[in-house]
Amino acid sequence: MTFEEFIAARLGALVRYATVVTWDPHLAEDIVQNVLVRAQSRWGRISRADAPEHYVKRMVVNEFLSWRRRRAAQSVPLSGDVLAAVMPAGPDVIAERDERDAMLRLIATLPPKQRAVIALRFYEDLAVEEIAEILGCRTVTVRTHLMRALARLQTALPATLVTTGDQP
Amino acid sequence: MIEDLIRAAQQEQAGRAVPESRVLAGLRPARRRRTRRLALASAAGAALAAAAIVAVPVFVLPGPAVVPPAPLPPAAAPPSPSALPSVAPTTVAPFRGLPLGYRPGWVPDGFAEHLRQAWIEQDAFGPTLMRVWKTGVGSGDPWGGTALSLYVRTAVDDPAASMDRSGQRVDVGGHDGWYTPAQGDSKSSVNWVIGEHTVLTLAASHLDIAKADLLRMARSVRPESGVSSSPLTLNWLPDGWTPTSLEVSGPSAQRWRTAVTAVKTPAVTVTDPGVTDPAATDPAAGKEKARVGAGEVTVTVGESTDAPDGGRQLTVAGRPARQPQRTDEAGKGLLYLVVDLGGGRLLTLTGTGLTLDDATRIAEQLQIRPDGLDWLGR
Repeated sequence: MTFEEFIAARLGALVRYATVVTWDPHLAEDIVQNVLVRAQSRWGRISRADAPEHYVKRMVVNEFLSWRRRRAAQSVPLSGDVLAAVMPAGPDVIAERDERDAMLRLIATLPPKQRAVIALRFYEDLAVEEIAEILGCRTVTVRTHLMRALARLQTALPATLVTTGDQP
Repeated sequence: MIEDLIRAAQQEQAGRAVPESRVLAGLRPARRRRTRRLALASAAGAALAAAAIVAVPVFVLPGPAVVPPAPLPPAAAPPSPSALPSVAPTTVAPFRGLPLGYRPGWVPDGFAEHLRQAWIEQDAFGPTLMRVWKTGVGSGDPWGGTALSLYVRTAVDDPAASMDRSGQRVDVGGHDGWYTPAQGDSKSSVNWVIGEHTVLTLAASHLDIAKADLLRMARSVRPESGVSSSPLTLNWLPDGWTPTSLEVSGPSAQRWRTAVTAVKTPAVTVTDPGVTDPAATDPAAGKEKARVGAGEVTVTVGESTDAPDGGRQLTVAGRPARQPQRTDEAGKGLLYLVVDLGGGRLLTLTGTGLTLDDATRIAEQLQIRPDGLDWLGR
């Protein structure tokens, strides 16, 4: 598969994937562009891999996490008070909101690595071992990130919404 | 279950992805920006450390000199390239630009054309010319800020397959088009097919423009003859390097800025490097080989430089020059060479994957011919 063929066939999926990993469509746009510039220059090697798309997706995750590291000094983490102001505080209010909207906002509050892990686990449906290979860490680390992310989401999401999660 | 909620939220978030066409449209500017901001390879730094500074010949400045004309040292004012015995110019496939092709007959009040960028790298869209109308630019980096950009692609193999059709169907002067509104990001665009192999895209960025106005501008687009030429020509590049893009910008014809980018022919042209290069069979060595093999250089001439201050003092073709170096992780592999051309003009060479000798020779043999820039600011 040539680089052009890859772009023609998989760009849409790649941009959507990056949007889920970064949780920011505009950052995803920048990251995909940067990754593709680099991927094009080494496409000969990438295309010989068993799964070029897998390789490029790994580049996207790594670019996102390294971008986060570079921006870390400029980032101001949201405090619990700020989050409380952004997130609905009482179950009466939350109950009236769409559960997906609530989850959308909650996922945005996860640390970048936890967000990347749940993107790989639930959006990409990858096994823990595959996620560990992409992130370059041990499986136990992936499980820890996954467990903490789920716990954080579970705790932040009121039970009323969790119980309705199966409904369309 | 909470997993189902997560999946539903992720699917919804995926639906918020920007259109593919916008990612493609930004791919080339991203490549250009990357040249300055990121290190593609770390090998250039090591190569530089070992590079010797050689005696330099003169600039090749045939025809009109840099504007305004600057007094050149006697040895640096040859009438033509043929008068230069020091280093015989090596033929580089000239980048003569691309046909202008099309121009809008109407643009919103306050906008004028301040930037053109053409690139000839082969991709799904083929060669592309981008013409940008802005409310103004300085004499430095023209990117960023409010812009209305017309992408002219005249060699698209399969326009129907290449176009993003996720937007709203619109009529653009009798041609099928697709309009993508802004999604809270002040970016909107319209794509339309205007010929068998011609696709036009009009994109607004950092601008909340009404759909009617964007379509009015798109519908006013008409054919235009002429070529987007470059005031700057590179007469020599190291073996395997090819010019791929040119850029001209500025507030007026007198205050122009230009940049030419060249890349080292990528390894993708090699069928199977692993067969001929035993080192490539080692994954680690192969990875390093791929990194070292990348190379990109941008030569910019303008009134200012975005190179770091300071650096080793040099003389290039009788002109004062310096070689700044960055020590931060992202920039330590980048090669910089800044040459004072006189008359308020500076040449800045930024690259990876080449030596100081290469950079010096590129600078020695470039040509500057600032003709045909009357379109700037109009």
